[in-house]
Amino acid sequence: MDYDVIIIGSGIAGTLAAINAAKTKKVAIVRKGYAATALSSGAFDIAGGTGKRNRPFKGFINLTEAIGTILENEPLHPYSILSAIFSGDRFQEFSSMVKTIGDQFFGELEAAGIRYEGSWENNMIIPNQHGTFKVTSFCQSSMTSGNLARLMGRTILFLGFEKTAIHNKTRASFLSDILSKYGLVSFKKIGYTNVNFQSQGIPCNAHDFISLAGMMDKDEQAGKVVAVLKRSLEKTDYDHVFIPPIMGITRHRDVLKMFRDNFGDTVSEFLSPPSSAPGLRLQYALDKLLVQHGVTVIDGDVMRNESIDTVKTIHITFKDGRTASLSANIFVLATGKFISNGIVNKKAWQESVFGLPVFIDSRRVSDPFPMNYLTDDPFDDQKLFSIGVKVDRNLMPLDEDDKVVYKNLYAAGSILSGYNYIYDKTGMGTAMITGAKAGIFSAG
Amino acid sequence: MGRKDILALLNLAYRLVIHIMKKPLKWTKGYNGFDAFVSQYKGLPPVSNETRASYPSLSGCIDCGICIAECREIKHEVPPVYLYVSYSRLLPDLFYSDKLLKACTDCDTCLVHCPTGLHMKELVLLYRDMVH
Amino acid sequence: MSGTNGNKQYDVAIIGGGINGTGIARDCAMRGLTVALFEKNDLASGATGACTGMIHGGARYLLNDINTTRLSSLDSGYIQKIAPHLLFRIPFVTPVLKQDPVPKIYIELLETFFEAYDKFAPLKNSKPHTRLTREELKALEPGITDDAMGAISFDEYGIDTFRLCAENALSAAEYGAEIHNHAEVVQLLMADKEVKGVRVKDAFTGETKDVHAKLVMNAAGPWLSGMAGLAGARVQIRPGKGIHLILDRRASNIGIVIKAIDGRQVFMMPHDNTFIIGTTDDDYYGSLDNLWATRDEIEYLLQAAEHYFPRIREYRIMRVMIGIRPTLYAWGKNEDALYREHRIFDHETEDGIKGFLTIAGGKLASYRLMSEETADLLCKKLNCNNTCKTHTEPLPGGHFIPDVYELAGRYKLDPYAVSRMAYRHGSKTEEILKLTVEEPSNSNLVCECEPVMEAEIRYAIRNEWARTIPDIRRRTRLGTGSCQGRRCTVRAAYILGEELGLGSAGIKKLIQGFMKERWKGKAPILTDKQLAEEELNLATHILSDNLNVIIET
Repeated sequence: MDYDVIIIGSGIAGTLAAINAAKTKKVAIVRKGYAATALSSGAFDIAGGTGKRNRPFKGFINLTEAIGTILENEPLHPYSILSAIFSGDRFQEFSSMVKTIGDQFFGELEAAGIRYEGSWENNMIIPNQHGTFKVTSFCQSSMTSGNLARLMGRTILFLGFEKTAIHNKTRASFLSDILSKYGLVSFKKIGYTNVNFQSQGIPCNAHDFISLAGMMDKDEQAGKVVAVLKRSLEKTDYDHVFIPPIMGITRHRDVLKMFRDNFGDTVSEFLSPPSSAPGLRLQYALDKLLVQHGVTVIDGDVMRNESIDTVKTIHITFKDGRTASLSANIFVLATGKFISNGIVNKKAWQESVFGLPVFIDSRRVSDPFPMNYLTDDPFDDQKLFSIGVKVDRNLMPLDEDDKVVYKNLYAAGSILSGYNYIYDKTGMGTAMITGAKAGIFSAG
Repeated sequence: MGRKDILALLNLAYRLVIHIMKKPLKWTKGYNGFDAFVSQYKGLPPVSNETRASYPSLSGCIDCGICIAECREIKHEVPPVYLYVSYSRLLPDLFYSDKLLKACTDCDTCLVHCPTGLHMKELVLLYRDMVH
Repeated sequence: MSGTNGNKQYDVAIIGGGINGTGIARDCAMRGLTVALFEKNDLASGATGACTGMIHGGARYLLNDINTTRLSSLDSGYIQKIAPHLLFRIPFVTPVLKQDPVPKIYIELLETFFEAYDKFAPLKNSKPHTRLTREELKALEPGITDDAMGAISFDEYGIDTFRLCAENALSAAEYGAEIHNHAEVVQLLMADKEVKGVRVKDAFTGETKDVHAKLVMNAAGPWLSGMAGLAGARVQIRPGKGIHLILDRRASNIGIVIKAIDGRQVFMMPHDNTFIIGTTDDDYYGSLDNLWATRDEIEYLLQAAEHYFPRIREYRIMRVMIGIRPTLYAWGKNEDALYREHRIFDHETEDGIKGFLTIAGGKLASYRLMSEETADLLCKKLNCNNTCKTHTEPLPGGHFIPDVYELAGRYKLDPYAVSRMAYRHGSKTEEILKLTVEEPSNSNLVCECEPVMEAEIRYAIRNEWARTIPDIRRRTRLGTGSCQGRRCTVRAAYILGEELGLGSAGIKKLIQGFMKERWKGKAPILTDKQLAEEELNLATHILSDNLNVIIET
């Protein structure tokens, strides 16, 4: 055996599986590239939705209440599946398990350079680049001071950069309009301004904030940017300033410290759509954790595998065209959904590495025509995005007759069916819990 | 069948007679369809078998922008993701100048991290071929 | 609609802002008539925007009417002169396959056919046909099946139909015509058996207004029967549904003429910077305002394309485009055997209803000729003796082709972005680029796929009647790239909101409207790569932005 455990995929789920298994086992992660985690906003949704999908947003959502609603109403959700092992107060026991895993993980992340803040009781409400807001449970510390719930009655300023994506008064008024309409937050004043970096000799790519964030990893550039920001903010009288997520990628901790030294916690990042520096930051931190835990990272694409009963080896193609076979006692599938091709539609819908059957609402689906699982309105809860493999309470993939397909295969993360992270906003939480549990299970 | 239809068919019949008569002439002239085609449509870049075979995989780019952050060399001129989006989308006469593409040092940093596993180096090579 | 003068009587009121409506508006306005045009949705949002987008010389009419081919070729030449910036040459090959009946004779007949077509090549500035052997064909396009025995090449022109339509409207407006989109004609003003004008409803405010006109021209395309019905007239059409598959990039630089399983001719060809496969042609009885592609239609096209281009299923289909052809009515013929002929109905002679005319049928390539014919008739009725000038005077952007590199250098902009703008706006490009000097943020790329600059979007809103994001999409190609609106939707909504002074509710509506419009084209083909892109799209707009739950209370 080359390894005790081989994990396929290095997002939140894969990484948590790896570091948990690596406590006692020899572990390798195989991946073809960065995961969807790297494209995420970096915010950590444990249960940010309303529990019931697609219900119009009415107010702040209590995190514990949202978890309770899921356990009660959604038996197919991985949260519910994992809580089935508890005999007593399912909610209490599950919540404390989530908290234990989460606290430990956030602790490790902090050591790897990113501090996550938040609470296990209430969600936060963080504005984003599009002028709306996200309800989420934990955020990077460069963002948490911008929790809108604590900024009521303050004057806030949105800062944009010329030559990057548009950031204008319409956006600021859009946000304040929505928030006040919902009675969520009332601000004394929301303002906006644009900073021109190019005229200050800082090359600022017109495409995304992410290239600027990358530049901030260099001390002299970060110093320049901070100086420009300081000059632009001198004359303003705002209590809080939102800036695009540019506080570094690989050296986030140092960049954040520079901002804190200059601005205290009055300046925070807002969330951005892909490509987003906080997501990439998180991925870098995960990579660091893998190294710290002695996990071998193999960059290569896993080929379609045909086995019976147990998975013995997987075959890998490297980017330069070389191939290799690796064997292990236990495998963990954490390949994600569509972005990373975890689920494909080649004449039929199926899981891409082991050809596992996939399910929507515990119903096996194979018919390739996507409209079977979609409605004619993109704002509906689209079932196709909850497609995934079905697992038992040990996270082992099942076939149509609820029989375990491979005796030594676990699955974790968004490859699982039963939840729809886009609509129920439990994506990071599910990846974290199922990933950690898959790691613990595979370590025996 | 009206008068127009009959005239149309007669016209085609006449063309067929001429076609049959002229055919031996064309052969003796050493007609080469490929050269004739290429000289008529000069802007069209020739496509090799390998290039055509690699086309479907080029479409895998989901414009995520990870490579923008990863790229050390050319991102301020042409972000790598931009190459993917534009390659073969362009009309035949519109290319980036090869000066920009030469900035790519084939360091493979972007290649290792692409979430959909695309081969950026291969693309840059294709681009360079196309420009030359 | 605020511009319409209630007391004024126009010479002609035109219903429909497709290529016929705008073409007729231009022709009439150039002859000095007062014109008002009303379109219930947007310019080119119906059949015009969903057509294959070719200005062809009418090769198929060589089989039954040589004169039609001559006229089509002649008009193709005219359109090249008036809109040189919008056209792009598409070389086509017609492969002969091993499976074709007696391929050796078939290719001779095919060559004969194109020899006959070559006679018209000078009229439309085409290259003569070439004959390719099997090896030569494979060298030119390696993607073609090994079953190909040889091919004949010819060429036609492709065009951006949205821009063609918009430029006709712009030209009409330059000559004084009033163009109103999002203004639905809900009723015809009748006096006895005469149409005296139209009652128009503004799609945004819901206000209605009466507009008087000496003549009312019904150019409503697929909706024309309903419109004629409002006057008590009967015009029957045979609506034919056609879909196209659109690939994210040029799968080939050469168009391929292929045959579907039922022997119908289908094209797969580069169009602008995408590649389209189409079209289907089926009788359609459903709603004209809610079109969806079916599984059968998609599979029909893919199967046909695969027959000639085996790896086509590995490519990325970005969306489907669906439209309804307003074909002239005929009983007892297959859809494909219906000619793309047109007819102008003068309801005074047909049904005894004065002041009302209808144009039905036709094809994009001969739009100018049809408009000329219609305007001739309208002028005759109004005793106007001015003659047609639409074939000699360039469209607003057609006066010259600008030097892209020179402009890009002078305005310090990306040459690729400038070249795309120059393709759409021709001689007007610099007018738009000047906006980037006035306000530097106007050089921001709002749509990165195409790409489209903020300046062009503001220009479309200020000068080209764009009032929704799909309108902007039709004017500028915003959101037509592989991300299908993931990165540009919200950005465009803010610009539009700012220009039109909309509040948050209006902006939300804009975003949701565009996402729903894109979804129609995307959902039926959401697999593989486009599905990965869509996961990111929904994660952006729904997971992060909460646009599904933030709704009006």
